[in-house]
Parts: sequence; structure tokens; C-alpha cells
Amino acid sequence: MKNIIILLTIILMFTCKLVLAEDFSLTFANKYSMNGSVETPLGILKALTIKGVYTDSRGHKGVINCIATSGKNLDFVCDAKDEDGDMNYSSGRRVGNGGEAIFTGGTGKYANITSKCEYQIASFSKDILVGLITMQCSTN
Amino acid sequence: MKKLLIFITIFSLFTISVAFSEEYTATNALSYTITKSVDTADGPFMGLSVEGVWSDSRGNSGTIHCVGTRAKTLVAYCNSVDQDGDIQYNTATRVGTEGKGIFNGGTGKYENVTGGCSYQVAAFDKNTLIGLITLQCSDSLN
Repeated sequence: MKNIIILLTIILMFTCKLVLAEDFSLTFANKYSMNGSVETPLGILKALTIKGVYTDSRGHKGVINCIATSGKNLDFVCDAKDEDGDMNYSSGRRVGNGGEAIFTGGTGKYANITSKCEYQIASFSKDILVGLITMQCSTN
Repeated sequence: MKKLLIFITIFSLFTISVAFSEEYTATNALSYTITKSVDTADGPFMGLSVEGVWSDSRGNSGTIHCVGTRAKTLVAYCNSVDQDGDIQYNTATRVGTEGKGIFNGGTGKYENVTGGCSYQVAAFDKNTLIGLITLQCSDSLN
């Protein structure tokens, strides 16, 4: 009997997690600007600002603003404002053509909402510094 | 009998046309530059330079460059270079957030390829002049 209760509890917790987790995707159009660089023992570290626009599969869209450093990896911190003026905050790291990001709350509908995301560079031009980014996220 | 033959001919042409046209979607990330603007009786008339990147559902990606004008209607002449260096020429016309594009051949795999797209401005920032464009296209590329 005890084992059945434990099993039912585990199944219930797993089901609740699946129900409460919301998957969504985003697409970004980003313009990158180089703001300077320094030499480090690990190589050249560049400072970047990234500005762009996005849409997501939940029907939201808006503008995104990031600061980043690019060396062996690209590390970034961003804020984004959607069509309602609500802000969300994110940070992440890119290695090569893909990376991971985390949304860490915000204002309005994004308050206290955290999400984990994976993203890919669908297309990028080094000459014009414009990128097309696709991202898949899960909110818990 | 003559009418039946005409009907079969038209139906066959339509079927062949559908069979040889391929539908796909694409997404563009674009950065706009206003080169010059003049006031006219119908409002401001702007010169535009547009550059960006794209990817499509057929697995192609590349860069796009356009020059054009914008008044009440936006008209742009573009070329897209894909990952193989092949170029596709197209013209775009947009009113508001909805537009249409027409392919006018190109080089390599796009030589003699015709077709077109419907497109939408999914997101645009007037301050940074960056836009995200979604397209639904059909062309004769095999």
C-alpha cells in the first residue's frame, strides 16, 4: 500500500510538472555593434551591444537590448520590452552557433517567471553584423 | 468534344503548374537605413537601403541587400545571396505591414526561377530600424 502511494505521488508530481511547464519559441532579428576590445591572456575580448526585435509563439513581440562580451564564448545580458510595455530579463552564453539562455523574471506578466531556453543562429553576416536567431524555451 | 478538350488542357496546365511550384517559408532579419527623405504633396518620400540575413524552410540561408523607396507604398529591388553564392533577384512592394515579392531569376540554381511571396512585418522598431519579416513563398525551383 505504501509503495502504491509513493508511486501515485511521483506520477502526480510528474504530471503537474508537465502541465505547468509551458513550451514556446522565439525568433529574433538582431543588429550587433562592436564597442571596443581588450587583449587578455585568453585572447581578444570584444564588447558588443545588440539591438533587435522579436516575436514569440505566444503572440507577443517587442524590442530587445543586450550588452555582451565576445571572446572564446559570447556572454550576454538582455532586457526586452513587449507590445504591452512589460519587461523581461535574460542572460546566457553562446558557444559556436548555439547556446543557452535563461529568463529571470521581469515586470507585469513576466514577474517571477523563469524560463530555460536553447537557441541557434539561423543566419548571420559578419559583414553587416545582422543575425537571425531562433530560440526554444520552457517555463516552469 | 471541343469544350472537353479545352477543359482537359486547362486542367492539365493547372496541375502541372501546381506540381512544379514548391511552397516554402522564410524569415528575414533586416536592418534599414534611410538614405534621404524629401517632403512631397503626398507626404515624405524616402530613399532606403536595406541589408540583412535570411533562412528558409528548404534549408537555405544567406544575406539580402535591397535599395528602394518608401512613401505610402514601399518598393524595393533586392538580391539574395545564399550559402552557395547563388544570387536570386526579386522586387518587393509593401503597403502597411503586408507585402508581396516577385522573383526575377538569378544565378546558379536560381537561373530562370520565377515565383513570389506574400510577406508580413512581424516586428519592427522605429528607433533602431530593425525588422523581422516572415514570408510564404512559391517558386519553380526544383
